[in-house]
Amino acid sequence: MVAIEAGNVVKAFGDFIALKSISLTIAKGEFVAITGKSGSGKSTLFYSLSGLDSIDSGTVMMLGYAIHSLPEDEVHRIRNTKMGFVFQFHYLISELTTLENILMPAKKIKMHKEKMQYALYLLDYFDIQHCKDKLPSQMSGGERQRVAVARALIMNPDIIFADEPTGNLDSINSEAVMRIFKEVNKQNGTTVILITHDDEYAHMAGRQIHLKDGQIEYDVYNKAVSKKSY
Amino acid sequence: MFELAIKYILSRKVQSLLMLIGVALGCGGYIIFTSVQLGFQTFMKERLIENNGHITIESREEDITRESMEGVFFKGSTVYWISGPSGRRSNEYLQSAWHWQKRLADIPFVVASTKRIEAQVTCARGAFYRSVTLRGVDPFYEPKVTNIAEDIVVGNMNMLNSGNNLVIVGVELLNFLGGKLNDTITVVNSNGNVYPVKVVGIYSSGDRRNDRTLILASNTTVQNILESPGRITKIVVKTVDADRASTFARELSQGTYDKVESWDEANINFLSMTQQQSFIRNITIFTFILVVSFGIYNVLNMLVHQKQREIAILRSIGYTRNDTVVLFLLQGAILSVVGGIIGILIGYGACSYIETIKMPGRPMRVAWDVFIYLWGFMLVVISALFASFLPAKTAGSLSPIEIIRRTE
Ligand SMILES: Nc1ncnc2c1ncn2[C@@H]1O[C@H](COP(=O)(O)OP(=O)(O)OP(=O)(O)O)[C@@H](O)[C@H]1O
Ligand SMILES: [Mg+2]
Repeated sequence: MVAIEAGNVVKAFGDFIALKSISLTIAKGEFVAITGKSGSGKSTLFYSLSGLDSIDSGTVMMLGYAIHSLPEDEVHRIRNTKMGFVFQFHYLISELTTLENILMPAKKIKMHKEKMQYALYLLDYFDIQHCKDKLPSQMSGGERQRVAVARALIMNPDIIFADEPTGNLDSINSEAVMRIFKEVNKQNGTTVILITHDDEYAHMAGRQIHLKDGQIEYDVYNKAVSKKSY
Repeated sequence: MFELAIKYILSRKVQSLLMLIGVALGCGGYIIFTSVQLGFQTFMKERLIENNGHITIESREEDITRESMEGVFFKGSTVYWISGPSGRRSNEYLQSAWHWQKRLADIPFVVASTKRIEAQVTCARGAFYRSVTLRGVDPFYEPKVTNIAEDIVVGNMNMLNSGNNLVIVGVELLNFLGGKLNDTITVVNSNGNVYPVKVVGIYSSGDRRNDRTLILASNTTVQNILESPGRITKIVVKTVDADRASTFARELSQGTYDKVESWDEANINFLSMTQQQSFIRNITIFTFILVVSFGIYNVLNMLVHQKQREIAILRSIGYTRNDTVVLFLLQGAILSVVGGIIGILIGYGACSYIETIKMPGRPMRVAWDVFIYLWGFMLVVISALFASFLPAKTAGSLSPIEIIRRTE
């Protein structure tokens, strides 16, 4: 099954072409690391594939949806139920407690009661039970980032997009977050698309797509991580 | 979104409190201001109607001109004026009173009418004397048309009919004359003839001018004193609606030369004062609410700016543009509804208190009208919604990707 299929995606900012005709296919259940130097177009690719940003030409099919040509309501519904985002900065809502933040996506479709059990499970699983009723300002960066990941997972999405989620974390916290992605990928078969600077983390992924100047320089499967897992 | 809106409000306690106070004062101020003014206006209006009914019919005073003299001289004769005629022809007495009463009885908007005869006389007791208004009324019909009977604090209007030359005297006038109930005072008419009258009642309206210069008596008594039996000077009419009195008056004046005047035409000053008061009130309230609205607009605008990242994340987890618009509109709505309710309570409390304040004579009058409260409430809610509309729209139009890119 295909999670994302991109064909000749071009994205330009004025005269500057950030993505130069990128084509790729990501199967469901893959763990893909996107790497490349700063400015190589990683974030741009992430925004374009996930439908957060528009593209100038080409096609993106996500889970069978032509995400760039759907009506806005439909896009929001898909984001809500099928996609999870984690950004470099945690982006928690500062007035809400950890539990409320995690349940925010479920609240949109009034599923927060049903999802409560799962939210508590995630708190436990991410080792942040003690933060359940804390506000973001009362937690450490690592704890906050784990909350953000938990929020991305609450709807059991098919795809998780993460843009340098460990960028602001120390190594211990980074590893904890990476381990979570890995386990979610293994246990739930969730497709994970992870942008990272860190080669070590890239090697934890089953596949590495390396960008250079808006083009794919190489796209390799990591044998050690078992390419057959999907 | 409602819960989040509440949380946003609660997380900015000082700002929210200030907005709340502003809205509450706007709403409460409107209610207090309007209630007191309308109360005062109603009081004034009642006072005017109380004394002179909705419509008065009197004989017309007429300036004498060349034209008005036409037909006075022999037919066919030519008159040359060396200097034109001047002066005023005044017919003190209403000639067609009987005719009027017959006509009024058949008009549907006329509730009741009564006859009066009124004149300036001098009244005296011992060495004290004063020029006063002697007003003859019909003790049976007068209470159906005006409220002067209610101002009689000692005795009652019917007593005027229980004999000849009985009067009810304004309280201050009686004090001035040094008289008391059942005393006899004298009234001197314009011919210099002296009539003794007996004080059978005391009148106190709270209006000093009346209380100092008014003597009530029956029409018969006054006709007797003025030596003009059967005459009257005025018919006073009560209609079905005091506010439409001027329209009714115009209708009545058709086909007659008599002067038909509604209470508001007779008191044109009162009307312009009322309008001026309302104008000042509206300007004041409008300015205040504008300031409050601007405050709300500012606070929400800043909030939208501060919360950009959170708006972006809401969008990325599936909340729509509309959701973010609603999030900010709701804050304005919640603050204004709560503020409005507090304002209503403030207004109600203040009005209840104001009503107990004693002005010289009577307690302050306050209008109790549900619509004043409704309007005050709507006014602040609508303006707050208006003020939050632009910031909310801004929030809705933010592009999540722009925000994320900016901060990433
Ligand atoms: N809104 C924009 N307007 C103009 N140019 C842009 C815009 N966004 C990105 N770019 C350019 O596109 C290129 C790719 O940017 P992108 O953010 O995708 O890089 P990146 O690989 O994510 O880098 P980093 O590792 O630093 O996050 C960069 O050269 C950047 O300057
Ligand atoms: Mg980037």
